[in-house]
Amino acid sequence: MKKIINAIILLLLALILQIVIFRFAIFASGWAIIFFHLYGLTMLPIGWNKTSYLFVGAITGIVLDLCMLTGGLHMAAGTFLGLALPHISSLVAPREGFHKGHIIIGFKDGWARYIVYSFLITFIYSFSIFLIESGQLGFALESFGKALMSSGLTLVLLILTHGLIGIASKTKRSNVSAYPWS
Amino acid sequence: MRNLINLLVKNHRLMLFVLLEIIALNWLASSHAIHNNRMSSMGLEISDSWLYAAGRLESFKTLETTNSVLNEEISKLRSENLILLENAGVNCIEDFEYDSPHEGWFTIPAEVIYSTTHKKNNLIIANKGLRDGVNIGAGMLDKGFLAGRVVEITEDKALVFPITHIKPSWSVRINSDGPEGVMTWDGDDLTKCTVRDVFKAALILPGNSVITTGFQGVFPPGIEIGTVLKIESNDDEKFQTISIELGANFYSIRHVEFIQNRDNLSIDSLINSIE
Repeated sequence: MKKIINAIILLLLALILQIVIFRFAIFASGWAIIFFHLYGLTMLPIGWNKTSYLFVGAITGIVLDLCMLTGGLHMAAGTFLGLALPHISSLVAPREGFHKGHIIIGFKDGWARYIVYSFLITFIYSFSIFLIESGQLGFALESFGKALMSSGLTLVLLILTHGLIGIASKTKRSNVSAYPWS
Repeated sequence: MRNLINLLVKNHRLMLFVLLEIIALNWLASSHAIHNNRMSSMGLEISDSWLYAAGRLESFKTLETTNSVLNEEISKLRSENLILLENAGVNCIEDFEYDSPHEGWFTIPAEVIYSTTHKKNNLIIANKGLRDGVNIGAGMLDKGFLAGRVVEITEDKALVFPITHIKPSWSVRINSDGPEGVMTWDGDDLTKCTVRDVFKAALILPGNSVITTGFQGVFPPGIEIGTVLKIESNDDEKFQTISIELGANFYSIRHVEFIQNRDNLSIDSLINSIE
């Protein structure tokens, strides 16, 4: 239960940061855009009911659309990501699979796995956003390019954030030691 | 209904996804003019292409009617042309002949001046005879469909046994590469005939076309006769009986064509030399 609450708090924080700060992070004439709120989605526990991911993705999108006046764009992409999220996690899972409620963390599961997982999430989300925004399949290649650039930029930011949070939590040690003589 | 509910429950995630996407895209279209325009134009394109496809299908359905109207018109025009040529004093038979699509065959337009429809032994008399190049044994077509065969002839008239005469039998084939059979008229309905002696193993379906075999020498192979209506067979019999709907309309038959083979005379002389 604590994990769920932590994940929701993290998602809310990421959303607030996206709305307040990263909404202005638009580079290269709109070819590279940061979607920081995806950090909250990458940190969701694995093994929930698949429908709940759909709702989380859609609600995240609705909040963004309401605050950033993007009119359904983030909702459409978030819903699609919500549908794909369980499949992405099963794609990067080790042979024995993840146990229920597991959160993919670079320090524990390996950075390669975390990077692949985050890249897939950011890329699918960015590609959906750009394709829906263009409104035509003819712009699929351009959307692909934009999605690559945006997901690359977002991924760098996610890795930095994830690393910093991880280092901070590692340094925060308990006062009660199991080895008092040390 | 239960199956439908089960299907919906089974695919509830997909249904929910589609619903959420529809809401999102609708929201997007209502808030962004460019998306609204694109969705409208996409809708128009889809409806346009659908209407175009439906229109083509509709015109295809009326093609058969159009063809038979055109055939009738051609027969009528040929007959009128013949009358005009006669009035102008042209007596050359070749002037009245038209090449048939079947190689070696030609047609002569004519008009029916007498026909019966209420007898078992129906007859047709047409206004063309020996003088016009029509010979005994020539076939008669109504709007391109098999209609009868010339049995007696005078200088200017031809007596025809139509397929709605109870005596003659006709060699026919079901579809272009299907089984052969013998067609006769039962003496009841002017729009129907019966095909017998068709092997039971042959697969025949209602709607299949019935054509001439060409074995009798009266018609070239492939002349349309009608379409299969129903198939009847008993377990004891080796053959099946097929009821067909005739293409020729004997209630309104008027402008017809006589079809003859250019080589008929040489074939006859060949047969006579053997006998």
